[in-house]
Amino acid sequence: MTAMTSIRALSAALGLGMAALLPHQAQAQGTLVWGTPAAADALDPHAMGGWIGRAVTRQIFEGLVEADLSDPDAKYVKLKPALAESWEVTEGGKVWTFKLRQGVMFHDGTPFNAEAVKYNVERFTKPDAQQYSEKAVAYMGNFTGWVEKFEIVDDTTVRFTLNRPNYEWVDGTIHSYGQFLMMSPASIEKYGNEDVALHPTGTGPFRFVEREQGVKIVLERNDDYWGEKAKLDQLVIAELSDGATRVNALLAGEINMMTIPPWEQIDDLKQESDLVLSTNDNVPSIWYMHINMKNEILKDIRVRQAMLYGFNRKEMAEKLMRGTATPAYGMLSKGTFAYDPTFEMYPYDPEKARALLAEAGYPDGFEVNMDAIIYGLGELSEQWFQRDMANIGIKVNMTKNEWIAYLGKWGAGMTDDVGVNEMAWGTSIPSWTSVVSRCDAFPPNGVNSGWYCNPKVDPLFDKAVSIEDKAEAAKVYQEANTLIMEDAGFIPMYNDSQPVFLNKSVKGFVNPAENWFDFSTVYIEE
Amino acid sequence: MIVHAILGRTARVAFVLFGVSVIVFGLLQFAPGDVATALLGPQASDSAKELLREQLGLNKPIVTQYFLWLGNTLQGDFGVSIISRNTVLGEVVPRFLNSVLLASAALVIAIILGVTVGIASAARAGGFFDRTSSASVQVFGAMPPFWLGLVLVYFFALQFRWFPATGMTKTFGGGDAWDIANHLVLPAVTAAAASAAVIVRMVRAVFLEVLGSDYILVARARGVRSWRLLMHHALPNCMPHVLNIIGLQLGYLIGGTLFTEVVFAWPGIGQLLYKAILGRDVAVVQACVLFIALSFVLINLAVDLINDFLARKMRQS
Repeated sequence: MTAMTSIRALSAALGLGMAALLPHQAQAQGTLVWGTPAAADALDPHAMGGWIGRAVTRQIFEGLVEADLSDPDAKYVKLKPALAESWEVTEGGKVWTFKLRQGVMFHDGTPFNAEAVKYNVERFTKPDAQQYSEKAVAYMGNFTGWVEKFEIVDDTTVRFTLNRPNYEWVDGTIHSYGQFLMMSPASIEKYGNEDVALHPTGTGPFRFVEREQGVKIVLERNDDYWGEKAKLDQLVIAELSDGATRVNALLAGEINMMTIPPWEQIDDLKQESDLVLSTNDNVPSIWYMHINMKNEILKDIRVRQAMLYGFNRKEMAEKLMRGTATPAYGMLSKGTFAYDPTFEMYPYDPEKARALLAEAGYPDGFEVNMDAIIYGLGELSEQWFQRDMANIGIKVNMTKNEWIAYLGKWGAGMTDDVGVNEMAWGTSIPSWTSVVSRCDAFPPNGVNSGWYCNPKVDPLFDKAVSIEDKAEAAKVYQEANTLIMEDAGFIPMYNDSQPVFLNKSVKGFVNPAENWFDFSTVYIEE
Repeated sequence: MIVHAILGRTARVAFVLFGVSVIVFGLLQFAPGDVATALLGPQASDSAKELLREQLGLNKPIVTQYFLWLGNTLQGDFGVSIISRNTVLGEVVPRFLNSVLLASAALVIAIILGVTVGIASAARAGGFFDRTSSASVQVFGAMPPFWLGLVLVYFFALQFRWFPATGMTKTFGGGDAWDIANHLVLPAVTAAAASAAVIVRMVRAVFLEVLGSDYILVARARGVRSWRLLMHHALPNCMPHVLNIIGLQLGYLIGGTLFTEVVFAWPGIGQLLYKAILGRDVAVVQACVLFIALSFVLINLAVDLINDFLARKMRQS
């Protein structure tokens, strides 16, 4: 290990030394070290759902379209061309045609073309293909649930035909459970469907160098990138799951960027002269809980409503999150065209909560199990919830789970003995809400972890995506959201403003209305 | 005679190791739910689970399963981590070596600090140094590593900026011996503190006892100077006791190292075990527990044998 590290260090030093000798070398722009609160998933872009893993893959890989993350003030992000130069939707939202960019190479030299797109599509649509991956199938709902036919029109044109109209489908290709990032076909051939995650090879502005599991992932600038090249020499993603350790590393200058700062330290960190806090109030991120509809006690809507009334979300956002979050009352994400900031249901009312519990036959309350995530924030919001529930007589027993393993457990759906589990999610497209709430999204076909189902809601989601006019579609989404919350189908907790602490030397960073970042514009200036 | 002693101790160790293997094997059996799901993760396909069931003989009697598992384990095949998809052995061995480095550094610090402070306290028992050191030993010995670690980081990494706060190497451009040594200081001191405190107390007590014995009083009466008295007369007689104490401390040291690794993000086996437990990465947990138990048992065997040897030498002289 030590020997290996020394060899790497030596070769890095040699590389730097040689770089200094070359007159036309691009100017060094430093290393960004991003301290993350949890591990990235295995780096297979088609078979992952975690935020950090996805934020990493989006530097290495690209899709046909990408999110434009350049405007920190945008209410929601718009798409921009990436590996497709342009695209169009025809036949009332059913047929999507993409004109591919020419002359792009994967990091291993494999050319990107229509055949490469086909190879990637077949990874989760063609069971007898060599690259077919059942894991990828479980994650690529945006394709497996929608795409009826894929065809190569000509060398630079591909076409997807959907089984029903969906004007948001292309937006879905940049999000989890549909993250359509292009992997080098040669890399999958070479390493196989599983091990390719150890050798991620895309077309993006950064290329993969190494991963030391549980410690760090190292990326370097792709000097052959087809577009505007990244400025940083290296991008290091350091895994520092302990909150105090992460803060110490930031204060000591060992990392120059930190996400998910421990809330109780935000005020202190803001006082540090060499640190900058960056937030964005339009980030599509909801921390919420699934409620298990199969749980004997929680089947009763009065019980679920009582839990919502008994949870003081407003005070939690103010006192606990120190202004880096707002209370969440619905299941539509901020940062989407459908979000309605005036929507509020179940304001804090413990008296009403107790009355509802008594009416449901639980005047003395009950015990319920909760699955929670270890995500670098301690367990403060969970304890807040526990305390509020105890206040109305509900004893919440919490089990904490490591993030990656949790994703699997959560994705498999709650077992009957669990009452609620939590998740932090939300995307910049409103149809995300349907991903966690549709009747046909029960595990293992989807991630409706709490088995919520209202047959009146699903047709609304179908209708919303078939409407081209965003204002009209927004109304339908809001209707669906109202129904879900009337059912007390979920417990929305808070909307996170994505606080990021940066060292002052980090320039060009944009905190967008999205759950990941574009690091290609970042540089270090001491 | 000595061969006999070694054989006896080794036989006991073999018995302990058998127990360890049964417990580690049992970890998998006690994991909630289906074994194949526990090993492959909830996202695994049915065909992959079926294949693994066949490989592990999960439909065979439990004794057969144990021997299959033992066979694989002895060949170094611990399976694959569900979190990283690396082989478990490839994951555990480098981490284990990192832990050995940290534990060894901690041991050296604990011994040097413990023995010198212990002797110095005993030499002037009741003096100013003795009283100060007794008080600090009380304080530092009682501090859990995850707290002491944070205190040390606050002063020596953040205020004085003498040492780095986290990790084993710099994230970029580090990795040479100097860099690692620099990263090693704070975690090693943290892991050493509790053991050093115990060693100080015990060494002091042993020395006081020896210093109170007749031959030392005689030597003192004959005018032998105090430092000569300590080094040439008292120290050799204390050595076996001191070694014994240090041997006993090794176990605590391993424990302290595991906690320390989490605080300092030191990429050792403790940090790996911590994450593997949280991640229900059963195969990694098994391998970590086995490695830790194995080193614990072997270190204790070595300490016992050295003690036997020293005791025999004492009797001979």
